[in-house]
Amino acid sequence: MIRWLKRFRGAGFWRKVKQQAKLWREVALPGASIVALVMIVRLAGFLQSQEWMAFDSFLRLRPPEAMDTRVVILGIDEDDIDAVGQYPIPHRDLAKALRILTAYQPRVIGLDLFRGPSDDIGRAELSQAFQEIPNIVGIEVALNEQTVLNTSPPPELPPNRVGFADVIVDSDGKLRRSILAAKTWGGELKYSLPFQVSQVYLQAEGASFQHGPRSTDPIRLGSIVITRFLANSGGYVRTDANGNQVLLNFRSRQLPFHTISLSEVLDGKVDPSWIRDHVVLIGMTAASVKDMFITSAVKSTLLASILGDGGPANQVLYGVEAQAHTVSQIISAVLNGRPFLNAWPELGEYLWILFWGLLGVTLGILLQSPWKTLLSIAIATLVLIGGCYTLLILGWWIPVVPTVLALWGAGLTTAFFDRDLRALLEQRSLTLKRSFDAVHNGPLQNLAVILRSLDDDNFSSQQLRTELQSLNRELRGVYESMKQEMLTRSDSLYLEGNLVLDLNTPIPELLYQVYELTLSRNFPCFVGIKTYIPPNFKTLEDCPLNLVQKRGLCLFLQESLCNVGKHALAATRLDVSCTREQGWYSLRIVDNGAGISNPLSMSGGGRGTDQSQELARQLGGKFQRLDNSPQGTICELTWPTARFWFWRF
Amino acid sequence: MSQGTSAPVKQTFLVVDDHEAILEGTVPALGQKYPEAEILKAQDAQSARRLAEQHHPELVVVDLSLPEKPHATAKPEVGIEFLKTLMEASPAPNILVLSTNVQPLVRLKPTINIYEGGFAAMDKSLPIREMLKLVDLTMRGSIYLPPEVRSRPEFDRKWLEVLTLKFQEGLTDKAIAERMKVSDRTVRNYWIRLQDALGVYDEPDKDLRIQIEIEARKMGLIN
Repeated sequence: MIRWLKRFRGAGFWRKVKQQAKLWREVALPGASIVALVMIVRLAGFLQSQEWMAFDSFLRLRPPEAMDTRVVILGIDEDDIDAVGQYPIPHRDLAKALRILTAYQPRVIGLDLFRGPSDDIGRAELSQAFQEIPNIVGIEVALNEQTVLNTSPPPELPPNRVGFADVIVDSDGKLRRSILAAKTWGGELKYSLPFQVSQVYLQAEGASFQHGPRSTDPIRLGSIVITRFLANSGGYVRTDANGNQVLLNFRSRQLPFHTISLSEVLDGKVDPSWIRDHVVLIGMTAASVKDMFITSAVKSTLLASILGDGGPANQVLYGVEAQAHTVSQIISAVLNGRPFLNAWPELGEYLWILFWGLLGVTLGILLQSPWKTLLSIAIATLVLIGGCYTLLILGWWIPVVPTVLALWGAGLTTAFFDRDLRALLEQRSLTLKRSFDAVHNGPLQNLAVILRSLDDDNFSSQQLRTELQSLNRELRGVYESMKQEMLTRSDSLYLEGNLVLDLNTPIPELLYQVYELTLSRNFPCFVGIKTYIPPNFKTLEDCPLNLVQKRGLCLFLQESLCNVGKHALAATRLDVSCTREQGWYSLRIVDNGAGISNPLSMSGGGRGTDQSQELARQLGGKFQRLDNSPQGTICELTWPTARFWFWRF
Repeated sequence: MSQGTSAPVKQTFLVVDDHEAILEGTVPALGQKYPEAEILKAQDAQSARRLAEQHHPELVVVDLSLPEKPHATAKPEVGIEFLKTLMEASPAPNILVLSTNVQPLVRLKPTINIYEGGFAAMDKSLPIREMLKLVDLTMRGSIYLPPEVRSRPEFDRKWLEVLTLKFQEGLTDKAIAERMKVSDRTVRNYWIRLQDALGVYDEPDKDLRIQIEIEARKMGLIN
């Protein structure tokens, strides 16, 4: 017996574990599949633009950095074009500006301009300036497959003082990357203008430069290695990562660099200290020239500051500004240890998404209330976003969008499934347990008695019949009590003796049930009643009542009948009537017992009276308790038929 | 028995039960007791309704738990609905409800009290002779409900109205029926129910109505 019990317990334990495992599996699976779905969607690249948006926003919202005075932009703007009176800018003016600048001893000049009109007689002067000034870096366009699209550099400059101006823009039209080194279609390894300029600047700082024969080889500058952009870096999916590209870590500041105009230079109005030993980048900052990009990742651009704009999401960035950001990024990294933008390896990113997704699943399972789940997921989201933002400031681009999606998707799905499933399972096991208890405590006990009695010779078939009948009744009772379990609390009325009424049943039937059930209770004063005059609640059939009013009427009837049962001493007659006359409904409970003048009858009636008054107020009617003649009590609730419509709306 | 023989020339009974076994037990027993009667059978509410409309049976023996259509599941709601239509029919048939669970009848009680025809209900598991006894009662116009449905001495307001009209205004049954806008048969049956409720029995040398009046005054039903 004991062994059997042990085995039973063991089996019970394993069944419980299995059940729990099954519960977890059933509940966690939908959430987990949402996480998987998010990952697949991300792998397919459908989240790329959302991730870019988040990335840009975070970059734009970074705390401001100091101005980088090492980089100065000489922007040739609309005013300059007006002053000079022609575009492209004549070579002579350019040559003049270069000589004036050189006098201020800049460390390097980057000339982000193409040649002007070829027939310009000032070309000789510019050519001479190129030859005489050693620290000028010029541009070319070199990376196009069709050579027609490429532009050659100024012939006076040696190859090591030429950088390409080629750029790469993302599919949403925004600039986020900079190509530092690349091989041309001819197989020649070339560097970009900002890189060449930075390298010249850094040489003076003693930072060595190392790069392998392939463009993708790591570029070493001084003590750092430039973080190369990869095809799947951060939110990017299968992007063209040819050459040696880097994610633009824009300098986060309203005006990140000193900016001067051509006229200021030609007029000698430039502060020499701005130029001395610094990088000067000369380029067009005239909106009409169209050397510009779109970005959402900077606080402000030159154009935006001219327009006096606080910085909309999409801003126009001049080419020379982008070069300045790149140069500043490289030299700050080498000299100040300012970080490049890094991303985790692919696997790390997906583990990260999985982690947060599973956190969502766990929150959904652990927290029973959906509000708690919602709140905890919201808190987790704040932590996640805050963490990602902080990490981005530190130079790490961590996936946010897919992670948030996984967290919410998995969390809500799990909470939803869990609630349903758990409620279902709980109800099932509860109903089962109660059914068994009910059968066990009642009918099974009686059955045992009957079985035992069968051996008794004195046990007559009449007795057996009685016993079996009571067994029959009890078994039906089990069903009745189970039915009550099914009714939910909100629309049911609990009467004493474990009876539950469904308030959705029509009011006549409901009141009749209350009438029947209350009168079948064991109250002392019911015993003497010889005449029951049953009501006809059908008159209330068309009376519009909400659940609260229905409940109120039921309780009123119950209360009044109970009062009769408890207080109507020596009553022989109970008359309950329900009428509809001249626009009034009336529910009367009349007895011929001791009456309200009897002090006993009023004791403890306070609460019931209050409830009745409240119900009468709700129905727009009145409640009163009167003396019946010759003796007894009349308990009466009346309410108008018509005013109900006002109460309803 | 006398009521049985004073009935119209051709009696029609309708027995409705979805269990073949019950039909096989009930129908021959009825046939034996009422050899003159034509006994119709139905196993679902739909066909029962049709038969009732066509033949206006004098007695309907019905199971509460019925299927709406053949081969549908039997539900007490269907039986209750069927009873409601039966009780609105004219002429009102006498009804005997046979069921394993008569509890749902509680909600019909107000209607049963003022019903024109006789009405009885019993547990299916009771012996056939009990059933025949109740058929007799029903045909007489009485109401008989098992204890779980009827648990106290009830006097419907309509019955009391009959008492008042008779013993305070001295009206004839016919005048009472007109005043109350019910059929003569209804008034007759109300008398029978009053008689049952007051516990007055037919005795050869006593006037039934006077007996009722005496008892009713004792109970304070009339002043």
